[in-house]
Amino acid sequence: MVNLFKGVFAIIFDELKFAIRRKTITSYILFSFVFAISLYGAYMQEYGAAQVEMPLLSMFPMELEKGVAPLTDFAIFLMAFFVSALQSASSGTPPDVVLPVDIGITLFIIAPILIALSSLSKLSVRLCASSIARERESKTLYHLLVSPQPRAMAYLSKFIGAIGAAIPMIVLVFAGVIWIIGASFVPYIEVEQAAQLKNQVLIASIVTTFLFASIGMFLSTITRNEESAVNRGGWILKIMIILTTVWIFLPIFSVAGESTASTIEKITMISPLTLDMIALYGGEMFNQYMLIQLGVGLLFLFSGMMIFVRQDVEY
Amino acid sequence: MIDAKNLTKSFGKVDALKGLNLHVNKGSIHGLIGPNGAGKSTTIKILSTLIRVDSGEVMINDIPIKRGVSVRSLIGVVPETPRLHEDKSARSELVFHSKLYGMPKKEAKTLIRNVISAVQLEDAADRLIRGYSTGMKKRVALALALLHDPEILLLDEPMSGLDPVIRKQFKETILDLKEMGKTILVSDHDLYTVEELCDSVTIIQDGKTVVEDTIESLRNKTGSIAIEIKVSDDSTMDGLESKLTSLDCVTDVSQKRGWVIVKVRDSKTDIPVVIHTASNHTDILEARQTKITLEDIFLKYAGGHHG
Repeated sequence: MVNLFKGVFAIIFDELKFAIRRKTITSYILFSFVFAISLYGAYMQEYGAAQVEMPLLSMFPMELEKGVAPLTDFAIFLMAFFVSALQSASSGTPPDVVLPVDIGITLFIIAPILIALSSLSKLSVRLCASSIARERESKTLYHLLVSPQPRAMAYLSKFIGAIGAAIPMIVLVFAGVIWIIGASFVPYIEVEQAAQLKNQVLIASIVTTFLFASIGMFLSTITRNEESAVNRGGWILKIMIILTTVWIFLPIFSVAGESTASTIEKITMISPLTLDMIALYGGEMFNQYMLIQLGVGLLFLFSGMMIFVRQDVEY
Repeated sequence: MIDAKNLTKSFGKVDALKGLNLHVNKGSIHGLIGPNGAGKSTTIKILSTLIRVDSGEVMINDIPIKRGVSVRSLIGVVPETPRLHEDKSARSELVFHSKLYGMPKKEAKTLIRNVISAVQLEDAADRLIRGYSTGMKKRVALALALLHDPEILLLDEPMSGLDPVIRKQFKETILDLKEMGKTILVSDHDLYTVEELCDSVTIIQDGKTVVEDTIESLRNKTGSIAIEIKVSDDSTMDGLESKLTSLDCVTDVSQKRGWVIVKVRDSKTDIPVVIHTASNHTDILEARQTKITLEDIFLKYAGGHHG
């Protein structure tokens, strides 16, 4: 057992060391910058308990039935902002609007949190997709595989090492969430609700990172070279982001008919990011959706591991 | 000890091994020779647990190869072209390996120092591998294979890409390892190297074992001595060949660039008989004695397909 643990830690640290390189640090800096701007944007709004009157929505030509909550809130925000901006502009004063806190939370979920989850997914899928494919391509994988380390353990150690590079980003997201909730929303929401939101964002960040990292590991196992593995991971993530964007603007598809919109909604739910949005927005489905993602993540992780254990490796 | 029976392995539609047998005695150096594509590297990779056999049985020191972890503790592997982490130094590669083998830090430090010294890499051990020559990389690969003091060494073309000085050092190191009781399997194209190093060989062709024996025994079967005879009249060569073939002491007769080459087992008794028979048949211009090489044995069994 001593042999095993020493080797496991060596592989984890070796992979982590490789993962945290110049390119990853650039990703951290870029992410910090975008995330900070989006958080600051949310912080700069003025929130209140007041509700915006629904008739404003009647200005929209289409029905807002599907994906009601995010788009309704988003529409309310736009209406309120522009009405306020127009009024202010006509009177020669800066725009001033007090948003209902629910809208603030929605915007917080579909802007900084979606940015954070997408960035975490991108980093984890890229690093994990590179881990085994990189060594297979450079033919250095044999070093690991002729050692007494079991292949399954080597695979999991590489996974832990690669996913470890996402920890600083998760910490940053959590710190940002604590700050924005405390600074902007706490006066208007219950303490329990604030705590629940913080925890849910943290859990969603971890689970989504795990899922995309598992997909990355799977791709790394079945792909012969690093570039293809990373590109495939990138394409999967792009498709997921597009599906989630479609989900946010789902009411627009109501124009095409109820059944079309319903089908599109089901398709958009393939994206883990959509599930994250629904789970964070509604709350009731949170546990269920996180478990689904965790299950799919485990499926990818163990499928990749089984393939890797039985795979022929060249030197 | 390595014991492999009826190994088969296919890569898609290509049958790399078609029932290969291999036996390597404990404490010996065994050569695995064959033409290109015969299955030498595939065999080494199977024994290294890097690729799986489709069927057949492999035992390493009586442990089935399916028990990968136990087997891997016993083996050290030097691949044909060692790929190393170019952004690391030889020492840091060795430190990483010592951790994979769970070596205590202090012990590892001593062992690393010893293997670096054994492969004569003291001056370059802390430089990045990126700047190493092929020979230096090969020495790092050997150091990595030796670090955990394995009982069995699998060397895939260990001499390829090495200059004569390093080849000599490598040969000496391998022979020293044999003295230490290691079991060594060498796959190499260079039959001269195999002949110098190995006690026994397995000749393989098209994924099958053609012959397996000690080099001495194969020499006895092929004929351990060759006599090359040059005659004054080339038209008598065919007649001479058939005359000599009929002699009991002659194991093989062939013609090569105006010479008749005769293989016999015993230089003292057989050479006079051959010379006497030849001189009775035709006028001999020149006769010389050469030793049967592994190449001769290989060509006899592998039918001249040496790649």
